[in-house]
Amino acid sequence: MIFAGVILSGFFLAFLVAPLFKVLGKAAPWVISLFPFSQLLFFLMLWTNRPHATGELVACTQWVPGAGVDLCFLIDGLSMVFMVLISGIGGCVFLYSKDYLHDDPHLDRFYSYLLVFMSAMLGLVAADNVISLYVFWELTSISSFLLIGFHPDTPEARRAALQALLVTNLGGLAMLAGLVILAEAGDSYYFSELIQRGDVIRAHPHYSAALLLLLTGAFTKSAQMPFHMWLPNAMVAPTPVSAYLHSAAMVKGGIYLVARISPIFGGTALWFGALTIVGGITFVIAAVLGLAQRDVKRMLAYSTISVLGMLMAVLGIGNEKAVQGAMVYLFAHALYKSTLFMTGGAIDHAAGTRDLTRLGGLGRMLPLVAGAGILAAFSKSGVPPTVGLIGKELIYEAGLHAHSAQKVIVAGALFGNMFLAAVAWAAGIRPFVGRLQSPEAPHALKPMMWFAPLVLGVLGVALGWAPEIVEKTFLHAAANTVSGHPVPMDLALWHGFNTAVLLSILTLAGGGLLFWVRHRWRRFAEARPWVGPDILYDRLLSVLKGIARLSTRLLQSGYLRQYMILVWAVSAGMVSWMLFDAAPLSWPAFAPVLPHLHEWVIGSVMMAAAVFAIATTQRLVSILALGVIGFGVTLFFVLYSAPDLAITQFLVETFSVILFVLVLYRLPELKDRSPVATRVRDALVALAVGAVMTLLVLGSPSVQYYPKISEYFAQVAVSAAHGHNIVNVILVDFRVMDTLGEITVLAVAAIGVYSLWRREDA
Amino acid sequence: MNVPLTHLLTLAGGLFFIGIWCAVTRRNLIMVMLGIEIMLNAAALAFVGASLRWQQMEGQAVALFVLAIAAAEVSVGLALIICIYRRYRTLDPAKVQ
Amino acid sequence: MQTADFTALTPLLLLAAAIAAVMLQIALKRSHILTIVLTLAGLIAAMLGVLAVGDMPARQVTPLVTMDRLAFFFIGLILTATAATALLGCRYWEHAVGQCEEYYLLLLVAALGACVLAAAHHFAAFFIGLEILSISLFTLMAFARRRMASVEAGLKYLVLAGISSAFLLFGIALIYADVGSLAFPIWTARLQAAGETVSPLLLIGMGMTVIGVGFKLALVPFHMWTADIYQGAPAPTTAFVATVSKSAMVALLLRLFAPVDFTAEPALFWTLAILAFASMIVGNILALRQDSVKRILAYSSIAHMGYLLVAFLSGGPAAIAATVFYITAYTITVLGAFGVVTVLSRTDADADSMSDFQGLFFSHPWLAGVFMAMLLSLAGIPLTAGFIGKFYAITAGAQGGIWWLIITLVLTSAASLFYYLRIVVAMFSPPLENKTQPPAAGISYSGGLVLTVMTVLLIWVGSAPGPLIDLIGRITQ
Repeated sequence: MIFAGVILSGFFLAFLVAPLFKVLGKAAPWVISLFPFSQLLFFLMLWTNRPHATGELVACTQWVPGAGVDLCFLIDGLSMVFMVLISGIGGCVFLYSKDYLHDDPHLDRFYSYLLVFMSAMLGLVAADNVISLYVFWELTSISSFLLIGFHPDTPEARRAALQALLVTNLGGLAMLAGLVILAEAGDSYYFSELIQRGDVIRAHPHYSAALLLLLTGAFTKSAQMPFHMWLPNAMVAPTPVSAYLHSAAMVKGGIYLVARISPIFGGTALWFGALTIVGGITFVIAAVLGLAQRDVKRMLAYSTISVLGMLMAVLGIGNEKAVQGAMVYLFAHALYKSTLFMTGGAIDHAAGTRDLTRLGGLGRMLPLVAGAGILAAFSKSGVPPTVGLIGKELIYEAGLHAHSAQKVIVAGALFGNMFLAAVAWAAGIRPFVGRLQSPEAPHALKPMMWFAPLVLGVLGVALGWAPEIVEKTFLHAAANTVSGHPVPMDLALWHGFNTAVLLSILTLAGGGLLFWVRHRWRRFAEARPWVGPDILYDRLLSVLKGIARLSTRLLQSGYLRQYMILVWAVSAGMVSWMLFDAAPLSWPAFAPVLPHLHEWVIGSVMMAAAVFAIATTQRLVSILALGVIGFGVTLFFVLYSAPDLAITQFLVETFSVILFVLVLYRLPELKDRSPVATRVRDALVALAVGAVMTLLVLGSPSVQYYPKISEYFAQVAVSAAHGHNIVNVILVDFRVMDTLGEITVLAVAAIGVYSLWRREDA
Repeated sequence: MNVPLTHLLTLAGGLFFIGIWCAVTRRNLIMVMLGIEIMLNAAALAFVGASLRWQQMEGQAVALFVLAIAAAEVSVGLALIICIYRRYRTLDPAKVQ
Repeated sequence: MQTADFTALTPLLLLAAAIAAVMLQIALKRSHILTIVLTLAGLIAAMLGVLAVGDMPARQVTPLVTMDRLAFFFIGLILTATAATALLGCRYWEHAVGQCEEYYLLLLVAALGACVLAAAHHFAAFFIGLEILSISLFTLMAFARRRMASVEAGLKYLVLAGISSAFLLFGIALIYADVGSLAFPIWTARLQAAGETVSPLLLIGMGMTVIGVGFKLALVPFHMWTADIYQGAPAPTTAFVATVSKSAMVALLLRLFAPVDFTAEPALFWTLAILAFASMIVGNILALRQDSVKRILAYSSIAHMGYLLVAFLSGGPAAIAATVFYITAYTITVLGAFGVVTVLSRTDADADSMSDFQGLFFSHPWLAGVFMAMLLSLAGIPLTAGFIGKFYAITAGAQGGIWWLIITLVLTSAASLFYYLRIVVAMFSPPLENKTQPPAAGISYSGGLVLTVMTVLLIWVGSAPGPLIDLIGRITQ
């Protein structure tokens, strides 16, 4: 319960930020920044003092009763890794934002959004219930939307925010469908139970559908191709957002999901194929594209996409080393990528540009920022002694341990990693060394802008020396969770000379070479704008808009008559379809009894009048024909023993005709009718409706009537209601409620006509 | 008076059909209203037929409602038509959009 | 009629009394404020009536109406929505040229019609309720007489509703000819008992009834009037049509078809399923390219009725609960959304085009926040009522195994986010320089009250839906 409170408390704090700023003023960011660190401490203490060696269910409260949705939180090694990253890096980003946005008037709102995001992300990685996972997932998307568009006055920011939310929401909904299928297949809404039922789910007929839907969600969130375009565009967000959401936390949501379902879905050919192909392609292409960027943040965004692809592919391989490598590299990446974003932001702040071709030698002015950047670049490129190197070597080992044909992965990894190494040096080292180059004279920075990245940068190296600290605390447990069973783990910088070490050396050498030629590659790519990320998104949107335009023209022309034609055509189709679908129907033969002559005459006159009414161009004649129909109906009422009804009909009909004629006095002559083609079309529609009617008539049962109807009413009318007019008795005595409603209708019509017709003022 | 339901429904169906025709093909709002009137009349006829079959008054009572409602609808409709005509000087539903 | 009958009818009687009172007041002395006070007093009295007698055991009052918990729930919903509309109308009609007291009178009458519809147990009650509602709506739509679009909206509604009524009547006549009764339970019993041999009369009659209901719920292809009417009608009327008329029809849908076992009636199931499918697809596609906020909300309402049908078609008790929950969440959301539109509108011109909303975030941050919450709820984003509704629909559908409808729901919902977000993005864009119509200077207290209540309800239902779900569970038992 306390645990749930700690996770969700960020939501409440988000509402308190504005008052805090009012009360504390400049000190408020300090207080708020304490919050994530205290959360971190709490999680670590809770974890190290856990009663069982495996995961434990900490908190459950009912949320949506009857639909199996509770707020349950589960901490195991996997969630622990993420929670440590989210709260730890969150704390650093909170500190960094304080100085980065120090002159922004809406800093309080910024912190509110960040707090909402942080709590949602914590909820996401700790959620045990699949639906609450989705809820938190969407909340991270929404807070990301608000943060990307934090300065909404530029069209790029609005477009990027929209794009990010659209893409991740599409994936989110796919994931929701996948989760529901998973829950139905595994007969549980809880991961803690679903993990036990991996065999059942892998054998389930809906396995592939559920897996592909879930992976769609993970791929959009983690910006895998072809959904990757939103992430580079999201770089318009303030740098703390990029350092937090778009490198360390939110984009890792997809990785988290894949790792979480790995014991349930993993090990099949589909799992392996989907993840290694999508992840691998993303890894290589994004790394190559990343090196062609000028903007340091875009370059880092591409490298993030690339690393996420690598993690996907590695989780797809899924062997012992792969899982360990994924966990270690995930951790290392969060540390160094946040650092690099923060140093990038610091450079932007100090020198006034993020264009790498115009930056150099800033190290002398910003030595501490440079220190952080260089340490992070070392970790990223895999220079010893960093935690990045440990992760990278594990990943090479995973490839080497794979089945024979799958060893091709190693080649791909080597190729991609060379580009990533070059990117690391271009983004993390190059701006600080060499000849001084800067559009503006670099100025000194506020302390938190170098302190926060330096802490993370140093951590990356320190943990490279002593990886067993994190291994013992949570990384080993995480690897066990993802594998689904305990695996041995022994992290160290040096395991003796082996193939992986050789590959690391090759990576660094290749990276150096690529670093050397990077400008040439950039110019080559810049000359070819189709390499841009938005092509698919723009095409898709324009196709969608095209469909919308077409269907608007077809279905929504605004013409009343076209509406009506469509409606009747569909109605006739629907009714006849229902009719023929519902076999067997009992079609009776047409009744052999012929009507009397007078009935024939009245009926024919009515039909003729109806045809005449619609055929004539003279309005008055039409209306008189309408009158003829009405009086024909009256006659039928008389014939079929409804004399009272007939009188009413007679009066109403007279009233209608008079009303029509009165209105006609105020209106112009009738225009010509529609052109021939239109009339033919209209006639076809009308014929179809008519044909259905005819069928209906054929199908109706023939029944003999008796002249006297409603013996009951006739008998009781006098005795019970003291009336001799049966219909009147029925209306005012037996059916009094209906009549009351009836009168109401007439009253409403009267009020309506009055308020429409009353004198127009002014 | 041994008229089967079939025949009465034939007549009602025919009238209904002509009413639809009128409502769909005519360009004049008055004629569209007229078409609706015919359709409602047809429905009333069908109700009387059905009520004959079952020897009940219910159908006749409903037929009565139909008549009154038709009248109410026509009144409001004509009021609206006049409103429109005052501004547009047209009664062609295709031009009213 | 016994005393117990009158007790059961308390809310309707109170509403009718309020109508009479307002009519008398208008006849004696015209006063906008007095009319509003009387209207609200009547609505609140009727709501208290619902609270007082809502827990009674179901009682059939005359053959026409059944006052059961479902009816009381929907009556409560309708009364709430009407009260919100009346409150929103306060400021909207304040500066109207001419007299506007009849607006409230017609509003009350329309609400009465909707309540009768919600409790209808017999075709006569259904038809009378429907016509009371429709005929008042014609005038409510055309009430802004100086705006051509408004009068046109009224006329379009009249023509198409007239034709649909005719269709409905003819269909009912056929059912009656086949079944021999106008009471709903007998129809459904007959439909269930029909089994192998189905009479064509009954089927065609049911088909025509579906068409009639489809018109009122604005399902594709009977959706044509929706966009023009939503756009043309004055904003408070639009809020009313979108909520009250829809809720009443959903109540009717439940009464007519909920007892039907869809597995035994494939024709009915497929007809409704195809309508739902088409509504989800067409509604969302047509909304994509609109620049009018009211039209966007109109098309989105088409899609939402499709989602609602998905919940309804899943079958079983979960289906009914999910449907009732969905319409409740939808009513809250739409009242909030049109509330914002109304607050920004004036009698002579409604806030409608995207440019009217541009920069709203900077001029009225709270209003923009409320609107964004409503739009996100329509899109089904978590922690809003709309999400729980959509989630319930998906779960019910999954239990019923109608996967293709669920997939459609999910995909079209994803696409729908695009047009909702366009409005959000417009609100966050910098305001236009040469704005023709500045938004209303300040928000009236009445409008603010409605928006606050709706926002609180939205978040409350979205974050802690337990109480509402319990309530609905008790109703649909």
